[in-house]
Amino acid sequence: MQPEASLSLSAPGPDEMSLLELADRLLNRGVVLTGAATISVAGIDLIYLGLNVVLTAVENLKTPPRTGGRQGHGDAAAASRGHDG
Amino acid sequence: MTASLVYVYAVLAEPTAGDLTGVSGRPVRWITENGLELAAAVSDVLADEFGEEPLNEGVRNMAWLGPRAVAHQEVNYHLHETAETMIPLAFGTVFRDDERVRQLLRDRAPELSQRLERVRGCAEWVVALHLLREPGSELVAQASPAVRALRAEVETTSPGRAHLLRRRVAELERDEARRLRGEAAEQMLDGLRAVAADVYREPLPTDTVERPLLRTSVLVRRKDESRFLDEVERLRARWPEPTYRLLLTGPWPPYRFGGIDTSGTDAA
Repeated sequence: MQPEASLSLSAPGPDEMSLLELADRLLNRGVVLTGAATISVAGIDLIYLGLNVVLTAVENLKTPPRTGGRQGHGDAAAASRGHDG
Repeated sequence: MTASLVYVYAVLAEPTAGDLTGVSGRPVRWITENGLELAAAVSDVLADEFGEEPLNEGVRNMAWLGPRAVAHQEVNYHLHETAETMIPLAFGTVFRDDERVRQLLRDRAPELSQRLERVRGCAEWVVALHLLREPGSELVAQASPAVRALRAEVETTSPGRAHLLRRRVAELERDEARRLRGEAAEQMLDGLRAVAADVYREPLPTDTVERPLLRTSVLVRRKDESRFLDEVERLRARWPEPTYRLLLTGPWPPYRFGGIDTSGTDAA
């Protein structure tokens, strides 16, 4: 997985948000409004914890979220699961 | 089981015009509360998918998370582009029904309004500096007058003394490399602060493939964006590849700054 790690981390530019960055931004937050929410996501440090799992998916999912484009998502990530935190 | 839950994307000062599609392809709608200048952008989701258990299972699986995270971000991207201010919520902020969301708006009204003001007209960027390899001796010499001076001495002194001095040069280069690495984070922070509305230093991971020297969330006024990007390019030139790598993503809706407490954010 080592070479892939370098590869994916090299990519993001201002308009290329990788899924890795996206998941990190959306999940790894300082404060969530948990007090009022009845259900909340477990505080997973995804960008780091699930690094290997994430990287396989990044290859298939370079969709810049801002363009609104979507691609089909394969099962690449599912195949490499095995991190259950 | 087909119970329905309410998925919240963001809190704004008022609803925006236009139709948006949220997670699971459901339309985004608005929840407001009389007398409050607050509006929550929400869509309905199934408890089978977004109940606590399936949700926490799902976020660990990129095949599940990927399309939903993209849908979440697309909604917030459009809201962020359309409105002057918004508080994007984290992925998976789910309430049991509309009334609970209205209760949130009522209970946290002053705090939400304050946060909306704080990020008004701003976007968020992520800047990280990675060390890919130890700085070569040329890079160290460029940045260190002490190393340059000692090297010059080696060139001009007697052969016997030069031999001894060379060992000291090597030691000094190692020490200076360590010092420069430590200073890089502080100097980059200073550079970013000069053009940012706020800078948040993210905690660093300890067990990754590439350990960054610095990772920050930077809140930047939209009108200052070109100045900010110029500064990032200046920083990139100062810590160049292949020794360093500066990573930049954005502009994001203010996921960090909409949520974190102002006090103590920029702590070292």
